[in-house]
Amino acid sequence: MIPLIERACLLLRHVMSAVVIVLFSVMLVAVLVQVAGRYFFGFAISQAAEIATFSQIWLVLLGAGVAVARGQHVAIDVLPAMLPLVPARLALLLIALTSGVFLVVLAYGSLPLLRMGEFQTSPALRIPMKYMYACLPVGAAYMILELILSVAQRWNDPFPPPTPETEEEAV
Amino acid sequence: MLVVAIAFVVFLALGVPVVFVLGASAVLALITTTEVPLAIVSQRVFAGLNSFTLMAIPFFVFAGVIMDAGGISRRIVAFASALIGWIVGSLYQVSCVAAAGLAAISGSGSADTAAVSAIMQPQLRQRRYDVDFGAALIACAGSMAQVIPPSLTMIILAVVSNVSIGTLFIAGIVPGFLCILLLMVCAYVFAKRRGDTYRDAEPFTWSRLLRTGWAATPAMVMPFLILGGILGGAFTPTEAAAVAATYGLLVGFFVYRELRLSHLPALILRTASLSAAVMLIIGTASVFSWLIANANVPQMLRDWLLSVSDSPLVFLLIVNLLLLFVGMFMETIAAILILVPVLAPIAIQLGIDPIHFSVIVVMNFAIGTATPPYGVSLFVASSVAGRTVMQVTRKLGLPLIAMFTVLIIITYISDVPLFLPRMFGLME
Amino acid sequence: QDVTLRASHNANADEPYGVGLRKMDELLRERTGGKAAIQVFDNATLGDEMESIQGTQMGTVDIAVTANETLANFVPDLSVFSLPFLFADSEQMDRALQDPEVIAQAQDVLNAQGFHLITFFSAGTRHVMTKQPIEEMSDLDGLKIRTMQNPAHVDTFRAFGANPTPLAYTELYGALETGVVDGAEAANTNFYAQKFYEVAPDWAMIGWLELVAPVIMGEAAYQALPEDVRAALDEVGAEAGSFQRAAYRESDAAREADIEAAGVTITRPDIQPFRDAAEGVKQNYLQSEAQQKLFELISNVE
Ligand code: NA
Ligand code: NA
Repeated sequence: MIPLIERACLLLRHVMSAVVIVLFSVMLVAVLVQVAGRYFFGFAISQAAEIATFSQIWLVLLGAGVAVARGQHVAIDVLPAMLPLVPARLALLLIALTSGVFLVVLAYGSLPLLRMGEFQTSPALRIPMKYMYACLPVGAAYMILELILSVAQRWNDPFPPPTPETEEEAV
Repeated sequence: MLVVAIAFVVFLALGVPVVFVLGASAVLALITTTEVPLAIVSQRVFAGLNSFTLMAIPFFVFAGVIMDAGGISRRIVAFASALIGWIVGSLYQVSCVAAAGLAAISGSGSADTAAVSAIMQPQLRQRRYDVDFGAALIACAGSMAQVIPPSLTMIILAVVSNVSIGTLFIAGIVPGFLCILLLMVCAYVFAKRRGDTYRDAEPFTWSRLLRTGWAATPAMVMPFLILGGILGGAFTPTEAAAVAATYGLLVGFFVYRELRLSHLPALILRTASLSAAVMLIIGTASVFSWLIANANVPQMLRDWLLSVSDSPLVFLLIVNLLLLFVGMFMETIAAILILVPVLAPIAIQLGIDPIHFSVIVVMNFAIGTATPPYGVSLFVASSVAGRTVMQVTRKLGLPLIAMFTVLIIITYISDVPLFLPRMFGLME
Repeated sequence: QDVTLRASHNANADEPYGVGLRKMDELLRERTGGKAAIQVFDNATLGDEMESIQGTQMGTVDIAVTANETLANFVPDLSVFSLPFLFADSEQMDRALQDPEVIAQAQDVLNAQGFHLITFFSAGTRHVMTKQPIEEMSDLDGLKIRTMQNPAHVDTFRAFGANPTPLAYTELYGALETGVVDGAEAANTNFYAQKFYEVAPDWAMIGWLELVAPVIMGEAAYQALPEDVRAALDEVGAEAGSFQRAAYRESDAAREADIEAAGVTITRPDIQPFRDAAEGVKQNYLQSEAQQKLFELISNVE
């Protein structure tokens, strides 16, 4: 059962990673198109900046989930790393719980935005803003999932000492 | 309010990621001290990210990641070594110069520190240099990537305090390189007092300098592309960042030929998750900053500060002490988003130039990343050196003196940071 | 006090929005015997325009003053107020914005989306700054002019022959300085206060738009106020609106003098070609019945 869930999560992580890669590429291309439009075609593509900005917002919310998976959110874990196994596990749970509470608030607080996003349109593309606000609950849900998964994966060694590789990743 | 402060410290000590410490404490403050609905959390997080200007961050991160993967760090270190490897304490000097070179490409102090440490630490160890002093020195030199343009910290600061990114970039050049210079003097003083280990230098040859210089040239074009593009009116800063990232790709693929198309997804993913981690902090810190504005703290603090003294010199002294203290404990982005909206209006009211003020803020937080107990550059430098933060901290004294000297100079001699922007006609 | 309303706007305290809101606060305290007051948050400290509008719905902000262009993203019918040369001049605008029929129609349109209109502030007559003098409309040909991110504005400048370039306001100074854009549209206040004249020293006074700034609350939040406060707010809102628009007209003249003193080259091109070009744009933005009605009501005001 557990491995099955884990496998589903890993599959989801692959999907999210792919989406994030696409979003970044869209962002970069949109900005380059904007520059090119101005210089080579003599007109500004006002939609390009908005496409890029909205890609950025989705990228951050989904990318933050990937960052949870890769342990890239900076934390000071000097103290919990000194704990024996059982209290360390407790600390691991508390960390996930604290983070999770915030993420639940983030998702819950986006409901009024989603309601407004039904009729609020974006300035340039004129598309309903709900498609943008949706990144908040979706991103929060994905981060929560990754948090749970990371607790499961770190259960036997909650705070492994940082290797130069992970430390570099963490910045 | 006390509850929130205690919770903040407990969360942090517990090892909760900084981004969630900020978020969770803000939620707690919201519930215990206001009647504001929780939706403000989501709104501020969204607003913090809904910025075309801040998009320069992921692009500059990408440029750094690409250049590093393309082998640029190695070439810059080789060039630095050819340039200055003949001085006493050569490896320390090379570390400083290499950090400065990378700083002109990378926007992140910790990335710069990581790249220089990864190459220099094995050599320091092998040639029996004092590794702890090396780590302390590299942490400080690497942190200058935030002061020497391009700089992610400056981009965030410019957005928060509404100053021109280009002008702020230019204003950072002299203080950044001055700091590197003083760090090299420190290293010289340190090495001079010790034994022969530090005199084992490589002889200078023109051929080596030219060869390594040629190899590093494509990378060294990047700062000129970025600054020239912004100053010359070709691009906005965000566009310059995108162009720099594209340039990095082209160099990696076609000049250094160390990049493969198959590497690209992993590098983009790395960029995306690094930037997401940085930018989500912008989101959660802006919840905090909203709470502070909502409680009318900026107004109260302004009244209090102005009642103490209306001298800009005294104000700047207070600001420096406050920011150095905060920088010891807090994450840079969070601190900027929370404090600068409070302090910048007071500075303007006292007639301090906003660019001058911003450079002072950046310098303070650059120092903050190299100081314990919380400093990302210090963490990275110690970790790559395989030493504890405590061990490295003991050797931090001399390099910190260099940093403080620069801080004092740029605070009280405004011409030092502002001379270049004026020369380029960016300010009066 | 029993009621403190938190008002958010994005300009300095001493600029017209801040002045108007403080006047409203003063009047409201007076009229309610100190029972109700308005606490003004300047400089977007509670959030930018979009967030403040949302805030009136979520309960994080009580009163928001925003450019009509931002509010129109929530209430599309309001885009009528963003049309070029909608008003004859700032005097006619003033009369139109206190015309009972215009107010009632705007109120209907806003109510439908959950907002409540308190009054209209003025955000100034908009002109064009450039790096070379604009003597006639054809001088704008092909110039990259920064506009707000608003379709009507973009279309208008395209109709003027320019290359409209929406850009973040925070990037404008740098973009003008370095030539990423050749000019921008703005009001006297912004042009002077933000020192744009340092980097774009030519000011073509075409008055292509009277920028209006609705002052709004959430309808639910408004209905939740005590009845006497509601009545007082209606009254003082209208008064503060008139006061603010008058104050703006006066300050506008003063700013023009400042601009001239700053060594700016002021030109006054023939307006008729601009008006003609704008006619075609208008029709595209009068689609719904509400828009047409609002447009007619405004045009009918003497
Ligand atoms: Na840098
Ligand atoms: Na620190």
